[in-house]
Amino acid sequence: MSEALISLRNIGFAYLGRTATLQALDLDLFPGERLCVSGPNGAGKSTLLHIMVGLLKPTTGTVEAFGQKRLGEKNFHDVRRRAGLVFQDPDDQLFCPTVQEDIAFGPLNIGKSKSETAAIVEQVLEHFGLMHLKERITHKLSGGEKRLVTLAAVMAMEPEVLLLDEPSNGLDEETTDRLVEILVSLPQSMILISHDAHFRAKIATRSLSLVDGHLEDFDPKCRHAKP
Amino acid sequence: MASMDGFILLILVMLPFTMPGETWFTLWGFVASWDGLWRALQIALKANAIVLALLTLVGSMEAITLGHALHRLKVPETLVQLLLFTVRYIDVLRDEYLRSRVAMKARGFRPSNSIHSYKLFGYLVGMMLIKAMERSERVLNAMKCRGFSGKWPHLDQMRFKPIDLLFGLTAFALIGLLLWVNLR
Repeated sequence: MSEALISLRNIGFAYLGRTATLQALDLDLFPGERLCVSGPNGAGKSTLLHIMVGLLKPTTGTVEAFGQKRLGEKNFHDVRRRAGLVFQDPDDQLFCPTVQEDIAFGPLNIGKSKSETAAIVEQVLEHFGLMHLKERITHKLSGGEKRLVTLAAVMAMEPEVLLLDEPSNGLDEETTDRLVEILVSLPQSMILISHDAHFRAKIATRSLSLVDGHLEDFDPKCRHAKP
Repeated sequence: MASMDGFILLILVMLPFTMPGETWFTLWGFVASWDGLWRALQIALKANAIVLALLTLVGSMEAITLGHALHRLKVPETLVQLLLFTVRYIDVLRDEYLRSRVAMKARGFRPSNSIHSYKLFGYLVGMMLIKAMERSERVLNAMKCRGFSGKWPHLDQMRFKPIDLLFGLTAFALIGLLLWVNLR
């Protein structure tokens, strides 16, 4: 098997004043994989993604991303660009006033010029079929539009890996289908967190579940939920 | 405008009593002066004129355009960001507030002048502050994930056009004229 893009080894994490959320957790993401992670509420699924991009610091264990051990804030700058995290609540992620500014935020931060950025914004919006939203004000978008724009904003940074935190949350069936179509068509490896068994079944190439602080092979309890 | 007038009403009412000058009338031994009355009227008219001018010039503009314009006019970055974040999140916070109010109503809460009511409103305000703080942390995380390191990038598309120059010159000419009429 080829080398893993992201490897977590023996990760432990506890929020202040609570029992350990993650314990001795190992995870490898390989190129071309769409890895789905499920697990009960509060099991630490979001925490897991936040540790991968260095927003949270694990109490034990190591994070290795793109062939390098990552320690400390500086080391993670590069990881955050190459592994695009899509947050659970689009309102947290769409902090710019207009759609085009939000999409431009990432490319401008990694040092693209204004004209390059403008071209990237056009290209990404075109690719997702969202051109009509370009000048729109982010807080006036519908839930589905917000979700697709957050994905576009992350894709504008040309990440090699996508980390998606419950992307199908609160979407209607039509938008969910569109999201599935988009995600399956993308070449990026991804880790998806989802409670929606049908959604997972359509996307996953591998499924794991987070139980008692570590990852186990997914064992479906419902006959609809194919692993 | 009404909110501003309400704000300065107290000052306007007090002015005739605090300015010395020719006696207008006396109330409970306090002397109100004509000079004070004129001064109060002047302030009221000026304040309202300023608010009217502001409403016609700025009020018809998207708040976001205003933010970008302020940035171009070299207003400090932090103030511009504060304005833009306020515009962005005020609706989100309002929705949170309204949802909490509906939830309270759904469980039979009716506001009244009682300790119980005040306590619940206290909880509501406290809860909103905590939620807002947590959201600000999540927003910062989202910004970091997209390469934010302290400096806000701008995708600036405003251009200084001939029409802006014309507007500027006309405005200055009119103001100059007013000054000249006043000082002549």
